[in-house]
Amino acid sequence: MMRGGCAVAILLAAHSAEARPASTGFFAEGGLGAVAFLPPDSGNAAIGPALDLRIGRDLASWLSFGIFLSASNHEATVPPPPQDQWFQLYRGGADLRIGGLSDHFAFFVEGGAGVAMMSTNVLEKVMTLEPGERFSISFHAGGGIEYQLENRHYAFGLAAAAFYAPQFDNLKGIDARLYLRYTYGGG
Amino acid sequence: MKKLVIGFVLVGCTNNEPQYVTCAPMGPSATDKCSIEADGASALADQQGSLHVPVKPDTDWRAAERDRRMELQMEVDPSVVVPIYRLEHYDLSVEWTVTNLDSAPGTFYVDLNGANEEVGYDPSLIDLDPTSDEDPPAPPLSGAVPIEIPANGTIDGTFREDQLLEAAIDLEQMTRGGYNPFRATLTISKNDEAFAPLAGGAEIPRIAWRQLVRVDIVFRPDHHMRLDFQLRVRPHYDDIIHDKGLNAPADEIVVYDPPDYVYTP
Repeated sequence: MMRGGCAVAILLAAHSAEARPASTGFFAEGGLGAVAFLPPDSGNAAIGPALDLRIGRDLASWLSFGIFLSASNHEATVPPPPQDQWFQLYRGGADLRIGGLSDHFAFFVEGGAGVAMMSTNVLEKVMTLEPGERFSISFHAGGGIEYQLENRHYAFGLAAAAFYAPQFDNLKGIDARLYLRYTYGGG
Repeated sequence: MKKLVIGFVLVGCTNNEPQYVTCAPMGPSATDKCSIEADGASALADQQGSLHVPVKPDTDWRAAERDRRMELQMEVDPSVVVPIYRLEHYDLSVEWTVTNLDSAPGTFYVDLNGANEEVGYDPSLIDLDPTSDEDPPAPPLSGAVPIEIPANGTIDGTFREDQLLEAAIDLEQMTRGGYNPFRATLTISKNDEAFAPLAGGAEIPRIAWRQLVRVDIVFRPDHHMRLDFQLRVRPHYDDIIHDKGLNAPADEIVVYDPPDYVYTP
């Protein structure tokens, strides 16, 4: 709680500093990154490339709402057989983002919930999945930093979030991404 | 952007993602065996394992897919029976791992046989020439390749989808076409569109060929080794393969154990 309060205070302070002009309004983000599972599942699936898409709306200069879709591709490293098999983890949902802009940089924290889907049952062997199970609710929380370009509509960002899928035997992972953000709207 | 999102959603909704099927000792196919531990002195029965494909009964299919069989039956010669589980429904492959439990290097064979909804194939029951003691043993549907393994080593392998496809067709050629097992297994038929029974009669088109519903593995090592295997099923239609695999309730999948093929020279 104390830590969360500090984060908000820092963000508000940052927001009050001299900031490069940035649009607020509807936005879209496209990112590339990687997803890694945390123990105990890290031994059953390798780190894999990820694609993230996000659209949303800035409700205020410091608050935005977004929906996202994310897909990551992993090699299953379960005890053989099977060998050299890959699966995809799809995640989608909605989240809230709180942040502020200071000079060229914006900082934010985000959190949300959604649905996760495994493309195959290859992790059934290690009981990450129950027979017939492909979907789980998922929760995520994280933060990031954005670099605002001189063009007020565009920014580059680096973000990381931890996610949790309780139906997948409490699967936990980290999603890190580099993204480009486009915001449609005025300053 | 809209196209990207739609594409992304479609990728997530494809229906032919593979399903990995392993033994389920508490399921309706409890006698399946997908781990074989044997040595050079093991009896044939101890060298064999089986795994069923978790196919749903056609009464649980969508009406359109059930009706398709009737439509196909109208298209082919009346003497040709269109089966329930056809090649178009799913692809199969078998992934296996052999572990040498001995401290000496060795050699092993992994043979693949199987069954469709009408007939099984067990080469050990086939006598190609009852008048001769020197006739060769009947071949398996696939495999029969010696593989060397180091002491305490592990080797992985796969019977690929095209090999299982060929195996399913070979079994059809033997049982419906009257082909000699060697002729069936030594010719490549996976791209054929039809075959004619040797005894005469209407050609059997590809759309009426049966897919395997059970895979049998014979593991022949010369030292103490263990083989573990599992099925990889890639369905092309929804509702054919059960999501829960062999852990499905007994009334939701069909476990086929048809009689074995009897060869008539």
